[in-house]
Amino acid sequence: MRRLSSMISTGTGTLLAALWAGFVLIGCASGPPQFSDSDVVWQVNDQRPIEKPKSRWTPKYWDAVDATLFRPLTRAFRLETPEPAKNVNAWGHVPNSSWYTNRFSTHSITPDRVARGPCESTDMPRGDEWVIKGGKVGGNNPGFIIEVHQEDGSTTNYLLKFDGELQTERATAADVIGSKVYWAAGFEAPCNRVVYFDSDRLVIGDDATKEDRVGRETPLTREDVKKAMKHTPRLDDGRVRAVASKFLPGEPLGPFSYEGTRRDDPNDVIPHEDRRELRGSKVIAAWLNHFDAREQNTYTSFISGPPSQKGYVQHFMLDFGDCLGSRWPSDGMSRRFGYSWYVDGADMLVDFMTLGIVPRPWHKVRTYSEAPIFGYYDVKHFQPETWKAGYPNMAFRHMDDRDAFWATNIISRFSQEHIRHLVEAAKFTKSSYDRYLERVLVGRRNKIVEHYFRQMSPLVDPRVRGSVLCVDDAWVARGYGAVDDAFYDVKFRSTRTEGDTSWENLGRPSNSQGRLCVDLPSDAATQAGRGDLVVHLRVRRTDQRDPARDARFYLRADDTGSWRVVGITRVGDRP
Amino acid sequence: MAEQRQNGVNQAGWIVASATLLASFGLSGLWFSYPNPMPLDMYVLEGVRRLQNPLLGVLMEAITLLGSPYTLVPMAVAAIGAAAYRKDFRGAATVAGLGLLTLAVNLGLKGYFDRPRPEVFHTYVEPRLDSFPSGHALGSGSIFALVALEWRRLRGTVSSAPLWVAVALAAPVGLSRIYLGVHWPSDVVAGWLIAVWLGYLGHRYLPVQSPVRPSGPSGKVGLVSLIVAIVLTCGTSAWAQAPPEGQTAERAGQFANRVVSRAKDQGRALRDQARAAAMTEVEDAAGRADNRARAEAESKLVRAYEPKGSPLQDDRSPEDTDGLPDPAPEVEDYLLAVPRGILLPVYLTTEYLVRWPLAQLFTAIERYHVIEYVQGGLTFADGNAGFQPLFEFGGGRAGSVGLRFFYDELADGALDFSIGASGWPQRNVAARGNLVLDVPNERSQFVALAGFKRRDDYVYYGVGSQPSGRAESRFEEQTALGRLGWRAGKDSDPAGAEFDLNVLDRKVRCSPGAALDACGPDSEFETPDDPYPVGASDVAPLGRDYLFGRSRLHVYWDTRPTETRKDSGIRLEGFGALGVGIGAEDQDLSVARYGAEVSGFVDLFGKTPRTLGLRLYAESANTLGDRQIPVGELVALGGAERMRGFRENRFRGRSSLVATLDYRYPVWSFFEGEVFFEVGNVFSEHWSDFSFGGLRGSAGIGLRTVDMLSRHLTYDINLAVGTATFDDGFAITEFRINAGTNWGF
Repeated sequence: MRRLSSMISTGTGTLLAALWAGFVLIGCASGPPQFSDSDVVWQVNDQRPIEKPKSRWTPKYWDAVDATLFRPLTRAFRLETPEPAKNVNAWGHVPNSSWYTNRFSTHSITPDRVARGPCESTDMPRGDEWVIKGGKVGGNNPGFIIEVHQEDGSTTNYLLKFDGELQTERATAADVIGSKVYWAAGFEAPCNRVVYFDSDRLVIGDDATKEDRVGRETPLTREDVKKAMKHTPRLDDGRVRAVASKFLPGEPLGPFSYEGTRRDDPNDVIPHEDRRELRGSKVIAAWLNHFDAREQNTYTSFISGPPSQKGYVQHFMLDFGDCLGSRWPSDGMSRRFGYSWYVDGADMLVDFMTLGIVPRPWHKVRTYSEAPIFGYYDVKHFQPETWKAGYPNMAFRHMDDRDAFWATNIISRFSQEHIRHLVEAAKFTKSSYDRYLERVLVGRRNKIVEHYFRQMSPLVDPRVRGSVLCVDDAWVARGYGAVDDAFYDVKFRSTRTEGDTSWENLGRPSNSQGRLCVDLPSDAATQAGRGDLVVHLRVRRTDQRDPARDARFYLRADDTGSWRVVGITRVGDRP
Repeated sequence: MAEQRQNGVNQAGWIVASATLLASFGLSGLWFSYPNPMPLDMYVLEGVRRLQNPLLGVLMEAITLLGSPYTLVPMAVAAIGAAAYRKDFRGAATVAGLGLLTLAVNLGLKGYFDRPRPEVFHTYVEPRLDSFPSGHALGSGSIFALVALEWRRLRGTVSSAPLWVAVALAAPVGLSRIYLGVHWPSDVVAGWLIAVWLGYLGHRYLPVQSPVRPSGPSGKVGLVSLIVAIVLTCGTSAWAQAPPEGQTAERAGQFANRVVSRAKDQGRALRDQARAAAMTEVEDAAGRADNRARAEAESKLVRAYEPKGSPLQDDRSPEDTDGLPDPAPEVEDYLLAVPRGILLPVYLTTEYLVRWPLAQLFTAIERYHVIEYVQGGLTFADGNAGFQPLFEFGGGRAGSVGLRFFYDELADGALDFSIGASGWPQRNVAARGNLVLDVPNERSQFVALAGFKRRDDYVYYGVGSQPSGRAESRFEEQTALGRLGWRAGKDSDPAGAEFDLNVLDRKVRCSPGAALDACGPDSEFETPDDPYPVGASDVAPLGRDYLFGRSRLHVYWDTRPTETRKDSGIRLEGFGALGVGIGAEDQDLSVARYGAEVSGFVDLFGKTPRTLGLRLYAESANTLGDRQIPVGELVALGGAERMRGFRENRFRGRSSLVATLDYRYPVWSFFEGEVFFEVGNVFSEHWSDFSFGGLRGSAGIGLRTVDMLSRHLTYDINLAVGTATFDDGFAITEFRINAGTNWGF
């Protein structure tokens, strides 16, 4: 053994060191990315027919404990390094799939359409009777499953949920606004509508049951309905306010996880924590303070079509009732939503060891008299970059600047008019609630855009016409800044030849809507087949202290000399 | 004797080796009784699939070459040649024979079980034979062991180092087969088990003899030759396994055909167009002599067909959506490879031995509503009633545990009721019943309380500001208390008062056989230096029982407005109590006690719950008449209220004075931190011997629950120290860690 160890210490150690140095040198070599010649992918085929997977059930409390303590602990020993999202196309967008559909991410939608969201119409179909099929009568969030009988004889099922005593109108409004925001952002969400109705309209079905807290089903009675609605706020005319959430299509399969893949779904091949839309949804959650963004508030269903029983799994986001400033009976806890996890060991340890000297935003938040129903949901203390959900979420943990930029690009398209229409869909009884919420949504949106559009270049939506490349400065185009406050620079580079041009100042574009156009070099057409032309564009703002970050547009010419954009990278991406 | 022991070892070795062989067959039979693939096999491979990494892939491909026939056969031949060269013909024959046996067992079992290879994910290694057992694991384990054993034999050494080297080389080979997805984990385990058996055969028939005198080059040359042979064979096998350029497309087509025929066997329809497109890609990749592109194209070919019965057997490579090649490993990937390898066992332990079992347990608890069943048994009436645990540990006494029942909001919210008991083995017990009734339409309450407590681990230190250690003695005290009271004002009111009538029956027993009889009338607690010895005229002996009735008035005024009292403000409190003996024996007993506390609080950061408080507390106890004052009616310091660095009732005297500076701050929604510093002591009648030098200190830090579980119950934990007096140097003399509820003992 001694001879072995001495042999190891002399010759083998040197060999290992040499191998190590070699690997390091190999790793150092890199060059500009070579985008493939394929068209930009806007649709992935993850809806191939499969056998129906098993329904998934996840534990609520263990998920919180595991996500807070055990999962980070074990993963720490893996020494994982951050990786970019894996389901991104050459332009940094997310292709359409069973998870996501490009809406606001690639084009504008009218305010009316945003306010309608995933619903076929603004108002709930009028039905005479609402038959209760089942419900949850105890706990903090009672609700009923109702069957609405239409005039044409068809029936549609809805989940009816009510506000709590503490913050009337907020939970129902949050469910409606949240579903429309996520839908506009590209996720599938249920059709949620605020309804006002006379409680006599509710009829108990013959086979209606309720579930007690140990999961036993027992018949639902009129007393149960009265008890569930005992603390439900009512209008002066006695009508009850609720949110009616239309049942989602397909056969329920339970929630999806924010990490890993579904083992019995062959279409599910991207680890969920590496999906850009799930990562980027952290920014959307921050905007609405959707601190309860956990896997139990997601949903999957099996969509099958004739003639076979095969189908595919569709993914949804739901349950937005915590948004817009939910408060729990513990005020100490409510103050922390969005700023700290439910049980944040690091914050607790720091506060204990520093005798509470560290200033914390939850010490300073307050409610506002004109809209107390929104709890501590405000603009002043909101910091998008430090926002936290109730407990760690793997996809949120993996979010990087590119994912955040992608989500910010979406959020920046929500104009004041869009937000106004969203707030109107909540059907508040007091105009002060509308004004307050609109102000806070706009303010938080602005903070998000202000922060993340400075992390990466906001030049988006490239178009090539002839030998001119045009892009939009989203910051200006969407009204967050003036064109007079920006300077633009350009330089050109080829992926095959050495060297690049120096930065050339483009000044300010003549177009005041933030559209910037660049003439491509006159000899660029002759570069067809000789690699890609990389157009570096950067914007410098007069009030920006940090160095400007550039966006790089990769153009490729075909045999006829026509250009197309084959890829986009931004500083922070791979070079 | 030694021979018998050796025979015993050999027998045991045979038994173990045979058992491993039988186990491998038995397990294989068990495994194949499950629907193929076995869940554990699939679970492991799915986990391995998620670990796929380009750098690790390259490493594993290199490692797996160590187990290929192109490596093992030359190694065995080299070992045979070396043995023959050294004229160790028995060794040469044994290595050859066992090597052939290894081959025969491998081929025979593969042919017999005919287990298909896993196709959970596609890698760049292309296996040929069937799956069970793993030839690489079996062959590398067996041949490396034989070579090591022969090397030992030729060197004449009994060192186990060569065998450990063999294990260290063979183990990664087996693992590499799993990583590369070409074997089920059970294939590798079976291969290892069979290799153990073959290795034992080698150990049995290749004993180490006395060193063979070399007639040729030294052993070092032989070892170097062996290493060179390994390197050459690795290189040769790498070259041999790389298909010639022209054959790449052919092999790709053969792979595709295998997939096609399997799909046909299961009666699935083929998508010809997708197949044709995929085949074109395979040929293009082959034309570019790009092995990775070829492998990816083959994966697409697999996906071009209907999925098989087990969806997990489909290739799950994601589509290339960004149009970019997979990024090359970064520098940090190389730098992190070693620490990752070192931490891998820790990760596997925490993940699979800690986290996974806990996940199964708590998932089952939640799924089957175990907590709700327990809660349903412990609480009811919408949480207004139920049971709560009580506990207390620390303080230099035996711990206690107990249970409290409460029912709040009875009678339309006017009545709160609670009763609880806690105890410990033997004699310690405490029980208390509490009734609080709100007076309708008035901001006042009636309170009724009955309690009983008995402990035998109280400590008596004597009386006075400087009780000596000699006076320490354990005693048992039993107290029964009844109280009727009236409380004016709610907790949030600026002022309030309480008046109650109490009946107290107190009995004390000192520990029998103790060195000092603290209870007796002729107590030896007197010391020349102690101005307040027990047995002095004004204090009764400890063992004096009494039945006592007391009326007490307590008033307060607090300028802090909120119920939680975390704002800035002032609080003034005062109380007075008059107690008289009950019964013939105590009719002349009369004690008056009075005290006051002045407190100031500052919310340091304005509207945030971080408050600094300063309290000054003074109390005095006096007899009215000639009767000695009972020890139990003296003013006491130490314990949970004042001078917390000391045990309960550490100091007893006629009067006391305590100044407290404390700082409370939020740590969490339900926890509050506290740092405190106190100076104080007990003194004689009416503080007549007060001096600043006679004050002692107490300091600590702790956590306390707030706004949690019940408004009547808090859980505390703190660390505290107590010091000597200023005159005596202010050194730390006591240290306490306390945890418990504020209800109970």
